Amino acid sequence: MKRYGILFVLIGLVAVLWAVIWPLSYEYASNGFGLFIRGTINRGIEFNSQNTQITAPSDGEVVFECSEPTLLSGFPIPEGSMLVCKNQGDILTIYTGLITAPTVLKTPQFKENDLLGMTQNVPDARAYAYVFDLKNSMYLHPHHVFPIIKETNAPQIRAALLFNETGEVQLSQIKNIKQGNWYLKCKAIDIVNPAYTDGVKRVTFLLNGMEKYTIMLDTIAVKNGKLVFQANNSWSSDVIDSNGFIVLGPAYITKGKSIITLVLEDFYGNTKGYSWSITVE
Amino acid sequence: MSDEKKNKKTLLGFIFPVVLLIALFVLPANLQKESYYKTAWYVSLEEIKPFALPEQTLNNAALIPFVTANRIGYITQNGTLVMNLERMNGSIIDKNKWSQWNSVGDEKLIKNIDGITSKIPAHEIPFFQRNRIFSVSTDVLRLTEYSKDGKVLWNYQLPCHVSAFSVNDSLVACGLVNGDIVILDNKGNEISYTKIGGSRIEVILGLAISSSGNYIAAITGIDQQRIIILERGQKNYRIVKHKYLTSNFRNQVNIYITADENYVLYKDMSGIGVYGIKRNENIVLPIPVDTFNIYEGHEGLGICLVADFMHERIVYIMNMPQTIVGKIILPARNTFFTLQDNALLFDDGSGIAALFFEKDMQ
Repeated sequence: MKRYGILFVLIGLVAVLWAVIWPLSYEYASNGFGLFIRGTINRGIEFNSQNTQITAPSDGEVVFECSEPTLLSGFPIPEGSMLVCKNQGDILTIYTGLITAPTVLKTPQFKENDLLGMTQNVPDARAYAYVFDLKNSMYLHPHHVFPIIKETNAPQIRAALLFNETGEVQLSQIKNIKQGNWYLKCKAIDIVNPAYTDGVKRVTFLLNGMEKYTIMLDTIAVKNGKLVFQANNSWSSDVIDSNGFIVLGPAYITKGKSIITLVLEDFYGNTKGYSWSITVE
Repeated sequence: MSDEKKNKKTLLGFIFPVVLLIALFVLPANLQKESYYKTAWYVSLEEIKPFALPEQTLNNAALIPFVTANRIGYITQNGTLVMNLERMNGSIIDKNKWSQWNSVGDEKLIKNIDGITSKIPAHEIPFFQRNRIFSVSTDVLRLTEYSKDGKVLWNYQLPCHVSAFSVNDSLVACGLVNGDIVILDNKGNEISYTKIGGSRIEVILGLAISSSGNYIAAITGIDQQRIIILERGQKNYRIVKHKYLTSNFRNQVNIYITADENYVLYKDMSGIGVYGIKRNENIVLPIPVDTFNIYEGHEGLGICLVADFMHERIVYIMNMPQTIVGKIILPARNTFFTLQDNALLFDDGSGIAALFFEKDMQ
């Protein structure tokens, strides 16, 4: 528990000490951290913008640059380019899909707001920005370090199901379930603006008002080749399934009437709760 | 013993090692008779309409895969074109299979020359290495290996973005932008995770795994950059040798372990470095390169080092560790190069030519 406290303090310190700007306006952001897109969990922010400047969010220097569709070994490079920068506070910022500025290649050291590159000059140009915490070896939601967006939209549920070894049921349709251990799985998003859909920061599963399971989705680490998230204050690898559902539980549901509640919190302080009443046989 | 005899003996004792040292290290090596090459054939790709691989079963040992700026296909060592397709946005080929796609969002069909096909899901990017089929997710943070018939053998979430990658028949080595090296076995299990360290900024810029898997060589770090050799121990890979370099590259760097596992060749500030693994060589060959590739053909030919520098591509024929036997300047529009036994195949932008090396020609 203490370890996680220290981790939160460290991430908090990074956020406070790292006076930064957005590398390109969040108005160009399309898909946020933790979303399940194109078969994978997004560990950064996707931007859609043609021929737009990408500038340094803070002082730093280039660590690695590749402007080829593959590494020398044939390993693909996303969107045909990658730029890795080390910034103050042991943070790596990683960009893919940009045309690196010649100035950065000549002089690897840069100041905040210096030009790092441009998004590609094609209509469907896509670029990604990632924030990697070197000390804790994990990807951070860029909102930990980029300036906060002021928005008041509450996060939303797209689907919510209960499941166990016998099968799965849609919470919006089912009224009766059998007594036993049940998992809850859901898809949750936060619509920041009409173009930008973000993931959610925290998901909490309550049974009759009692907190059963909480997942934090603001960092993504990898242990032994599996994604791990903070679930009930410990690292868990079974948090997001292969279809992008957030999995919470299990919780033992006893006979009688029960209220299942799911509380979502976004990165901007907005929360929303969803409740379902069920009868357990 | 008289003083004169004593002096003679002392003199001989001094001269003999000096002569031996000169003979070994100063005089040129006793080279084998020079190798000669002759042009065997030239096949135009542009004049021939694209055509697919015939239906009948083919002897794959005879097929040489090629990818030029516009074409992808197979050719035989005697210059018979067996497949000649127009290149699409994504094109990969090896001696047994190929795949082409227009968009990463498409499902990719892997076609084996024996007729078996398999599918890689949309939004995965396939690539072939050492006859193995891999794919990465579009963010390149999940690595998957597939069997020939399209079954997922394993997948592995990468801890960080990859900056260097190397494969042999059974292992996968990933060098990460945070300076760590991960080694996976052929089931995707992490058999080694090494934090390299030793520089102001950690990053892996080049990585090579030897054919046996006993050695891994890497170019690591910035301020100071190092070449390191890791050897496989009982539990993990550990650094057994390293050298600080004068370079401070911030992009990918070629590094290669020779098939006999005696030497590492790597890009250095002033040429191509040769660093002994089991030996003590520590040489820089004055060959200017931006990038290079190594091809090892039949034993007598030595090593073919294909160096790209300032839009020029030169093939150096070498005897390790430092004898350059000869060089060939490739055509300006060259994309494809390979060495098959004693045949050197390359393109000039519109066709493919073959040179055959022959020894002891009079």
